[in-house]
Amino acid sequence: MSDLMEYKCPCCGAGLKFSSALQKMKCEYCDSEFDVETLKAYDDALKKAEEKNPEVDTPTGSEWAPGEQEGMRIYLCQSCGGEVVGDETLAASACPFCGNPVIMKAQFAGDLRPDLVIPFKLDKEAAKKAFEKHLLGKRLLPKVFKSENHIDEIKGVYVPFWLFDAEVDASVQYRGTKTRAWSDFHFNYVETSHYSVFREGRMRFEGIPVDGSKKMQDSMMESLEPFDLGEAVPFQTAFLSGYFADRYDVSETESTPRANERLKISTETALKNTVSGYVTLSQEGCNVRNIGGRSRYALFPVWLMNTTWNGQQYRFAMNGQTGKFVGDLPMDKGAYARWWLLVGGGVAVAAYALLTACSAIL
Amino acid sequence: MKKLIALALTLLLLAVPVLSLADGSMRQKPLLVDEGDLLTVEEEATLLAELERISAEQKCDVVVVIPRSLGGKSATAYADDYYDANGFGYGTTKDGILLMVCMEERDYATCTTGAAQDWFDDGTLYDIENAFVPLLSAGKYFEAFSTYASRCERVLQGVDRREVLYLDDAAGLLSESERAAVTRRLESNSHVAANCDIVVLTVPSLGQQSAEDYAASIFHSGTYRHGAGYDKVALVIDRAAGMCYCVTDGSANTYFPEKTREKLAQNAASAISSGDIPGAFSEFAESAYRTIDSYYHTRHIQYFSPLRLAGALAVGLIVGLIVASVLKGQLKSVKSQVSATEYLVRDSLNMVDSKDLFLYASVSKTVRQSETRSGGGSGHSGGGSHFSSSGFSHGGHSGKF
Repeated sequence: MSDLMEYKCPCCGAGLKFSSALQKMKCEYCDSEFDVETLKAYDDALKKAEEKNPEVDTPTGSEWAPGEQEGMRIYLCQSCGGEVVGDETLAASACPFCGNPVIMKAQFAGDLRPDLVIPFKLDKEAAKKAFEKHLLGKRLLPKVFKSENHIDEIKGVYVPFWLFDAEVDASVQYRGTKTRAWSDFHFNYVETSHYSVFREGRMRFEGIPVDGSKKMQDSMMESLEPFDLGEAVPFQTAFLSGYFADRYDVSETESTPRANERLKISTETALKNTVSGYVTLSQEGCNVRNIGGRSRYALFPVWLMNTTWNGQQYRFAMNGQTGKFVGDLPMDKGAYARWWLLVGGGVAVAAYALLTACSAIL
Repeated sequence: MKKLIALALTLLLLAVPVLSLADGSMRQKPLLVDEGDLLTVEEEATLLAELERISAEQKCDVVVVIPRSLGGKSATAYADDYYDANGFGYGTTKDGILLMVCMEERDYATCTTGAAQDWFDDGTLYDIENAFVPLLSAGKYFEAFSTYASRCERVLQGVDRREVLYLDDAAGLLSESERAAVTRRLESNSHVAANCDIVVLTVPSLGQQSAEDYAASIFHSGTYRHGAGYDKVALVIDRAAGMCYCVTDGSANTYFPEKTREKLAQNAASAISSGDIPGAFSEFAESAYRTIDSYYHTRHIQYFSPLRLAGALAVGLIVGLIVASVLKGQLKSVKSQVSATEYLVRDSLNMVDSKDLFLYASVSKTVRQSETRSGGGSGHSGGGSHFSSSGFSHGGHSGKF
């Protein structure tokens, strides 16, 4: 039994891809379109399947050095028989020989099956335009970066995320002061009243995302937030066709501390907002307890772009649902110095003229 | 004959107050008005008598007014307007000092007018205020006002009463009325121009003496008083030679350079030759005033100042750094999220407990500062001259007690 799964066009037999514009499966050869629901049956088998390591098909004639195959998975394309080589987390890709989209179904079997997926809403062209827009208005961006820059690769990737829902019971202790001032003929008086302030409350968080892929830079994935979970649908492998996908390699347990870290700060802020009327307020203690919750495994759409400039690689990412684009850009140090000196010089001249005029008036 | 005697007596009786007013002030209210009822009747009578005695002896009105309210005015404006509206002050320059105390606002203000602005300079006023304000704060009102009166008297007793010479018409070129008019103009312009007296000297003949020497002999003779450190610009008319000279004393030559002096002298000579001698002198007063005024408005412009340059450079470099940093920040868009606030379900916060327990209170007190200079009394504001709503120039301070 093969580990690869391909969606074939019932009309011409070519590979089907998920179209973000149509939100349907589309054959790029005969232009046939298919509703995702009609292809749902393909997934039924996956639901019953047990998680197992995919069988490694070693092509004849190849010899691997000891240890070379660690962390590597090799699949055979069902269309052309070509080898699809990927790491152990690769879940969807394309055959390098025939270009057909392939899905490694074992990566979604059993516990590895995502609960939700947000389908791509924006296509590659939108990502290219967003990248061009991202470069606009950046005064310190080296001009040659704009003119000579060529994107090495653009790929749509379903990034695995853990979504945490939590029911939180929190209590916070503050020390607060209020002041009252008055005067008589001789003295000014200030009365400072000290209070112990206690707040306890319950609140609910839904869908705090934590990046479940080691390959993705956590800060970059958090920069892409928010994703609209209202548009998430139950997972179907058909959505992955034509895109890359990874299964998680950061477990739910490993992701929980990051979710708790963000949750704790928001909880404290929410309770602090209920305290008012104090001149000073300092937090003395805080206890945040998770009294119920759950986690879900989801795939979020992200367009990834890589470019190399001056021997350094720059990575950009776009939220495939909302279009939010992020990625750090290089800085022209000469332009930085010029702006500093030009603006500083202009302001200095203006300040000098203003001070001179003021001294004349006064 | 009896009728004549009766008429003479009547005229004498009428003339006494008129002469008295001419010599003193045209005041329409007593020197003490206590609407705030801070003083007893006896205290009021005692203090009023003291104020009248000091004012008469020193030829300078010393006034105390205690209104119920300031009617929306500032303390300084109220004091200035009250002084002007009620005709206080001696002489043409309305010399006098007024203390206004308002209990409703707990404000006080001193107002000096005419020559009293010179007699009661800032330092003197601070000393006087430091003496009576603590008494006001302590509720010892009679002592406070008595202290004010006695301190004023002490200052006035030390005043140099010699007149300032603005016009010395030794050549007799002007009539009495013209002389008075020209003197007023010179005096007025000299006051406004501050720190520089504008003077006209006419002499039958300078002889072998230069105009500069003649003017210097007048200025430094000790017969007339000129303000300490005051500069002087004088128009000297040699009637016999038919010559006009413009000379300066002190540092007035810095703003009356030779060309300006020549021009002023020529203008005066032209006007005199056309027969308008008072007009020539008035025009000189105006021109001199304009020159001084122009100098005072432009002399502080130092186009190069190392301190200013350093300050401007520091501001420029800081602003430049901020702008460059903002532009640098545009290049960075990858950053971790701090909180999860947007995942907090709306209206899901349910408060279980909310307590605000009072623990204790502490009270600190600081002595009310009168002013930073001396460290005692109450808060001051205002030094320097200001104008009342009627347009007169006043000096004085104000503050809380």
